[in-house]
Amino acid sequence: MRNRNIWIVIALLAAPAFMRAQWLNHPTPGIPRTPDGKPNLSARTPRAADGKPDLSGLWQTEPAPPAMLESLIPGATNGSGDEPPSQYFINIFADFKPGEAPLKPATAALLRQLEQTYAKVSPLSHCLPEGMPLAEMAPAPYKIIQTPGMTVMLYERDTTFRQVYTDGRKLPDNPQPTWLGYSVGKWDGDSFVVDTLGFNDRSWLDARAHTHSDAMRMTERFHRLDFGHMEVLLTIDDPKTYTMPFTIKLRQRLLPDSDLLEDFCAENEKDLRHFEGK
Amino acid sequence: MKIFESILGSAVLLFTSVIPVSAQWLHYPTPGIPRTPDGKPDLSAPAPKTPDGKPDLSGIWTAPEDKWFRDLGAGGAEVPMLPWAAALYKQRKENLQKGHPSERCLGHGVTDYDTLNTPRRIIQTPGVIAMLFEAYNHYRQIFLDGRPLPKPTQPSYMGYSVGKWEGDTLVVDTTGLNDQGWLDMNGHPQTETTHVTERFHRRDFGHMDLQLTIDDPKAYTKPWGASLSLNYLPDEELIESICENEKDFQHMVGK
Repeated sequence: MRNRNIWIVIALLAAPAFMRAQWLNHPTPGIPRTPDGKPNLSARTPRAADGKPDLSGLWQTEPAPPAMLESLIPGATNGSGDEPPSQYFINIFADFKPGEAPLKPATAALLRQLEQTYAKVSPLSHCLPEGMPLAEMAPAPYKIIQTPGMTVMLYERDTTFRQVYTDGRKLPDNPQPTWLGYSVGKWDGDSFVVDTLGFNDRSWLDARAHTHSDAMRMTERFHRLDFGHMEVLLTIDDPKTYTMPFTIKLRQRLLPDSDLLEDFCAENEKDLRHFEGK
Repeated sequence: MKIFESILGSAVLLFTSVIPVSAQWLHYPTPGIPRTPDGKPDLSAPAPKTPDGKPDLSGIWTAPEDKWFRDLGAGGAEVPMLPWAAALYKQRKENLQKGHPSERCLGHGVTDYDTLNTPRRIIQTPGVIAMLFEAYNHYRQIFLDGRPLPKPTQPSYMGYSVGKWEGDTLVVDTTGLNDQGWLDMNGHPQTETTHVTERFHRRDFGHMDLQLTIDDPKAYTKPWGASLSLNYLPDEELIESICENEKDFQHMVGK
């Protein structure tokens, strides 16, 4: 039952993948190509006018390796035929041995309670935002647009966006809590480091119902390795919920000759009443 | 009539309720904008240019009032509706906006986001413009890389938009719209053959003319539209505004 519920939550996010094949495959202009016209994803990282790496492009987080997926959800590799999500999307503590994740006792108690009714109580089942870091790990593309002063992330799911200020401002002391938080970014060598705070406590970190508080701080280090590949080191620090900060490494790949589709979760809201729950 | 007005007023409020919150937000001085000697934004300074010499439309903008958002024909032009469109419009208007996609958190489309008097940020790059709307936290893309409008595939609320420069005016053509969106809150119909043309001209630093043209022989006997001027909002930010689960829906009264 638990596994079935998890898949419902994941399926909510995977839906746009079905439609991708119907979209226009307009060749992305200006990307490096091999002599036969195919995108050259191992070409060098492009640079912006200011000499910094240019992260602009359409990105998607790599799915979990099959063995990892099987260990997280037995039987899942024979699943629905969709591209599976990242292991961290299923369980942000996928790198930890069972029972060793740094949950505070109250967090663990809340998790046991939420686990009974994943699909019914997930914010996603109610078409609420994914929040962070779920939006960045979801099995749906997002687009980075890097400009002087601001970098923008456009998420396909629910056609929602996030702004990262790069004009040198500091994080505000007491921002209004939001789903996506308040983000400022700066360069550390070739890594783009984004600090975010000001989250509300309503989103989940993953499909497994790992929660967070409004004290959560998130740091992302984006490193574009070459034209087609990026690593994101993502650190969550939430002392109200977890006994220590923890870091995951997301591998992302560029999707050439494709683009974002319009997606409004509210169009699927009709599904909610069909979900089972205790 | 008084009651009608007040109901209409409160219905419109549902969609504009983020405005008072703006005052609570951080007023971080927008870096790099022209200022007068006393430090105030100089909104009549010349329109900025991008490195490639095109006008730069980037910044936070808003419509000055909500009259076009309520009724795209509010400028006084006759709206040449075909009989079916006129009948549907009458029904929607009399029903006080009940049935508008926004009551189900589906937000707005091209014309009603353009005419909404809440902030939206334009981010302009050589190949694409992103419009980030405070309302519903939605975005829209306009491709500037010279691609043609595609044959309609999956009709959508925002459609598919391509833009090109005609002198200092950005001309944006949009097709691929669905027939679920409304052109305005009163309910002027949109169909899958609606072609919207937007002409953006940044007159000076603080003001942008926007001319909207609706061409849809399936619903209207000839092209029609609206002309308005958007205002630049200096030293402001977008605030996150999430539509939560049809909470508005139960308050819509209908006829």
